[in-house]
Order: sequence, then C-alpha cells, then structure tokens
Amino acid sequence: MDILGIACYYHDSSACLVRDGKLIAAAQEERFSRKKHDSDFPKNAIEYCLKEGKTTIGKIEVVAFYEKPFLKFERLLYQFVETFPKSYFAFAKSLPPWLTERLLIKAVLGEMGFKGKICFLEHHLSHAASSFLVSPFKSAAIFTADGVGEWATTTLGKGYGNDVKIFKEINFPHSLGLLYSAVTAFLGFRVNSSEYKVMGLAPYGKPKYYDKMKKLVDIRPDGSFALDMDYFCYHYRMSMPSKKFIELFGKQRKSGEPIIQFHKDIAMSLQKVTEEAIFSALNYLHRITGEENLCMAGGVALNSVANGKILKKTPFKRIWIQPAASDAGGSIGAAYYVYNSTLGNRRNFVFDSASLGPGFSDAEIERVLKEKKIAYTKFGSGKELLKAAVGMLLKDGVIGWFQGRMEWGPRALGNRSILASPTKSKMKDILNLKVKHREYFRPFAPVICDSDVDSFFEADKPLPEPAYYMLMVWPIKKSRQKMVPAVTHVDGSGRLQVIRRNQNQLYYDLIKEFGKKTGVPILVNTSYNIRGEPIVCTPFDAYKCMMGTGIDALFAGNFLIKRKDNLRDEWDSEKKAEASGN
Amino acid sequence: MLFDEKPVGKLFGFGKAFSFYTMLGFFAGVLYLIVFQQGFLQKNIWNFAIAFAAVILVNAVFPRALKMLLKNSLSDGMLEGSKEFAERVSVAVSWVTLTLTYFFGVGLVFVLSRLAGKRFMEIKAKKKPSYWIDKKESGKIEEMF
Repeated sequence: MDILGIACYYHDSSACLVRDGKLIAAAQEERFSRKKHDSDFPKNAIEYCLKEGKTTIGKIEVVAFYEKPFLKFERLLYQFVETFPKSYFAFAKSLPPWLTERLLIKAVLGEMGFKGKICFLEHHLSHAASSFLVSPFKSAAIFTADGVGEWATTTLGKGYGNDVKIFKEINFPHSLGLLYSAVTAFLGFRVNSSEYKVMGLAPYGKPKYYDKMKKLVDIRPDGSFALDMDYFCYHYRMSMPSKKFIELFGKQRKSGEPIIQFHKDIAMSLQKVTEEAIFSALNYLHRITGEENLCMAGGVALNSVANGKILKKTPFKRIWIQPAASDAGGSIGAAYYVYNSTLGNRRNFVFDSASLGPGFSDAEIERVLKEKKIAYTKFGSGKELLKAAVGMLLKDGVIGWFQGRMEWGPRALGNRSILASPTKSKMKDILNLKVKHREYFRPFAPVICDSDVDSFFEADKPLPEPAYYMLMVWPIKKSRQKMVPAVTHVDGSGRLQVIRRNQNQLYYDLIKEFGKKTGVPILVNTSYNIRGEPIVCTPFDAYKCMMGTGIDALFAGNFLIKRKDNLRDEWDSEKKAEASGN
Repeated sequence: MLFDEKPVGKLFGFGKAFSFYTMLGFFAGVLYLIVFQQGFLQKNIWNFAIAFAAVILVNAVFPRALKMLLKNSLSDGMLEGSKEFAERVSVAVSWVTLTLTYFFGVGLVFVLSRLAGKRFMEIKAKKKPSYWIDKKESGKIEEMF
C-alpha cells in the first residue's frame, strides 16, 4: 500500500512516500525549487517521491495531509473578528492565498491525477506521529511545541504500539514557538528561519533580562504557560513584538545593524525562559504518563541546546527526535498515522537514516560533468578518493562532499556537506570568508564517529539517537577544547553529529582517516549551500555552489572537481545574496 | 552561459516602464472620463468603447504581438510591464473587495459577538494554576490505551 504524505502552506513544504510501512523517500520542496523554506505546494518533492517509488500519482491509494485546513482557516477568521479592526491588514494580506489555494488541496491533487482518498490530520497529531511512530520505542510520552497549527501550539501526548493520543494542549495565541520567533524578530533576524541564530547567540550573553522576559510569559510549575499578549501583535498584524514589548526592552534591532552585548543578553534570557518552560512541561509529562521514553517534535524540538540538557533535567531515560522535527516532518507523521493508527497496521519501521532524498549514480554525475564541459578527475577506488580528500583537509582546504542520497531535515549530515579541518581556530574565518559569510557568533558543527564521542564530549550515556542527526548540544571536554577550536562554541559546547559506519561508510572512513593523520577524529561539517539558498540537491547545484564560493574542491560520487581547474565558471554568490537581501 | 541566467537587455527596463505607464495613463484617462464627465457613459458610449478597446489593445495585444515580431529586450520589457500592470489592477480590485468584506462582514460579526458577550479566542488569559486544556476526545489518560 502506498501513502503519500504532504505538508505545505506554512513553511518548509515537504512530501514523503510510505510503502507498506517503509519510508521510501522524503524531501523538502525548497531543495528542488531553490527557494529557502519554500511553503508552496510541494509539486517537485511529490514528483521526486513518486519517481523514487517507481509509481505514479494515479496509483497512490491515500494522501495524508499534515493539518486540517478548514480548522486552521476557522482559527484565522476568529482571530480577525476578535482583534477587529486592528486585523485589517493581516486579513487583506492573508485571505487571498487561503481562498485561491490553501483550501483547495483536493482540487490541486485531482488536477495532478490523484483518485484515492485524502486524510486530513491535526497539525500536532502529525507532529506527534512523526516522532513516535518512527521511533525505536514501543511506548513513549510525546511532547510537541511549535509556532501554531490549527489551534494548538503545545501538546502532551502518549504513544503506545501503533497508536498516538494527545491529551492536553495549549492553544493560540499562547505559543512558545511564537515567543521565540517574536524575540527573533526583535533581534533583527528572520522569523521561521533564523531562530537557530538566536540559539547560537545566547551563549555570548548573560540572562540579565530574565525577569523582564518573565513578564511576557507566565510559566506554571506544570510547564503550562500563557503569554501576556499586550507585548505581542502577531495575532492581528504581520509583525511580532508590540510597542509595549519595545518599551520594555528598548529599540528593535534592524537587519544588518551591529550586534551588541544587549542583544546577546536578550538571546540568553530567552533561551533560559524557553528551557524553563520545556523542562517544567517535560517533568509534568513524565509524572502523568510514568513513561521513561520521550518523543519530541515541532520547531521547538530543534532547539538542540535545550535537547542536550533534557536527560539531565528530567527523569526521562531515553529521547527520540526525528531530524525534520519542524513542519517539514509533518508529512511523515501524517502518512504514518494513517498507515499505523487509522488503518491499524503494525509498526514495521524505525527511522535509522536521513538519506531519503535524491541520489545520483556515478554515470549520472559524469554525464552532467561532460555536458557542462567541467574539468574533473575520476578515482579508481574509494581509497584513492579518501586519500585525496584527507590530503586537502590537512592543507586547510575546504571541500564539498556530495555523496549518496540527499538528507531529510534541515541539517547536512555528510551527503551534502562542506567539510574542513577543526584543528585551527582560523578555519572559522576561512570558512566565513570563503563560503558561508555568516554572522561571527554562529558556531560550526563537529562530526565525530560513535567510537570517539566519549573521549571528546560530555555526552549522555547511552548515546541518544538524536545525536546522529545533529540535534543535541553537549560540552566538549575541557582538555580537548584546544584541539578543536573551529568547532568549540564560546561556552565550550558543540552541536555534534555522531556517525556510525553502517549509516555512511565513506563519510565515517574519511573522519577516521583524518583522525589517524592528526589525532583528532573530528571534522567541521556545515551545510552545502550559499547564503540565502537551500542545501544543494543535484551535482550541478553542488558545482554551481563551489564556483560561486571559495570551496576548493568538490568530491561528487567518485569524481574530484577542482575549483582552480574550472575558473571560467567563477561567479560571486555573495553579490547575489546581497542583492536578494539575504 | 553556464548558469542559465538570462541577461537583461538594455531596453528591457525602458520597455517595461513605457508599457506600464502607458497603460496607467489610458486607465486613468478612462476613469477620469467616467467619474468627472457626467453622463459620459450614456452620451459617449462609442467613445468609451473605443477607449476600452484601446486599453485592451495596448495592455494585452500589443506587447504580445511586439514580442512575437521583435523578440528583443524591448518587447520582453513591454510584455513584463503589461503583466505588472494587470497584476496591480487585480491587487487593487482584491483590496477593495476585501476591505468591504472586512468592514461589513468581519465588523458585523465583531459587533454582534460583543453584544452577545461571546469571545472566540482567549487573548487575555486569566491567571490559573494550570493553562493546560484537556483534549475532549481523549478522555482519562489511564483509559487511553
């Protein structure tokens, strides 16, 4: 039985194909459309999933959609009525897309040739299912938190066998995700996109504004909370902090303005309040469910700093977070809920690899290289490729690593990655100068093999699975921090990716080989993209990215493409990013 | 070209602006006649028809015909300008419709709901020991599974 899962129309559209309970393919629309956080109907992602599953839309039996559009639309209308007449501009701006596309999902699928049934699930039920139903647990407590779905913004639930139930919730406009987003906007970053920057900025600050931050939100001992909506205006305007918020904290930072200590302290205060709410809610959830296992989903579950503390601050023993924990993951949740819970099928799949996107064979890569007249070298074996890659890394080279199927979720996990040596502090500057051009305060992530984690990180034991998907931040051992300055954040932590050999053999061997030469079995792993664009998808995307930045070489499949051999295709990605306001 | 990015010709901007403002001029002219020349529609129905046809001709037909004939950046720009004009008109019409809907529809519901004391959303939450809301369909937790 084939089920197509779809999530779209808010941010990070995606599609997935589940066949007889196995996850065949999953991808975000942004990777194909090349629009970051694309929220459009995921036509390209659907096409890819169908192609990967060697099927057509006409043969799909069920489409599972990750939320109930009419329920969400009802909430919007109530919002407009409740905040009349302040909601006029929001009404005029947000109504047309609802009437022309968002309520017409059946029609859009019909036009594509779909003839089966469509199931619409509640947004947070999709989140809960996206975590629990693909987790390694038979039963678990479930916590979901994000900006907003239909009405719910935060939920508590429980999963057992093939069923998922939500039993408590907090409704809009009271939202942890939107609180985080409002402060993100206040700090001059993009909402629904740059919340992770605030998380990266926090360790530079002190929680000086904690008390003021607590004026915005009343957190009860059971982790439930209510926002004082006088400080926000997202319930009636397209912006987030209100006048009263600005009176309380001071001037809102505009994008591009310098970041000063005040902004860092605000970020830290917010992180502290967020963690307080999360840990209180999780302790309460443990108390009422008695579960030792925890599944989390929703945008808030991407807060890897908080994730790294959960097992220490709550009685839960094991934790699971699916890599695409935010809205993109809703497609998986919807599809699995239909397969397991609605249709009553036994669970037969545990999420074990994020390699669910398009992959390209050597023949396909070579065809592109020849077609575009790109100079390249072909390796005779994997060993030769590893030797060349390690050689470049040892010379402080920055390499593009394009291998296997594209990753599912927001992180590059060694299939579409930029890799570099972490042993010198200047590597941060080299990467920022050559490739990423990002804010100085944002740390670069380390990747390490599972056997070496304990010697470098103060990680939880046994190692939680989310660490395989770069979802946990842990302290780097003090004695090791100087060995890996390029990936050590200002507070001595690192948002690591742990890798097992059976997950990605070539990548694992590369890290081990680098470790043999340097004594440091760690690499810098950052996403393979230019500023303002999504992670690369195709070999040509990867080549284009290399030629628009300062990446020295690209290892695509069994091929080495050097930047210096193809200088005729050089271009400046920075100019483009600046022109588009990224 | 390696990166499939079509270069914008020198005359593109000129063509776009020319087409956009010509159409705006025609449109404004016709609007002026209708609004300020009383009885214009009745008395000068042929004049109106000609003006209307001219708008359509300049707006829709001419740029496309020019693009087919010339295939250069000027015609590309003119077509783009005409599209932008059409989009702006459609946005303006939508805004008028939405404004009426908002004030007469949403506004009316707002007034009635206030008179009836009905609230659709708990914007100002009262201080409570817990803000968790029980999901109705779930029942008691211990009976859930």
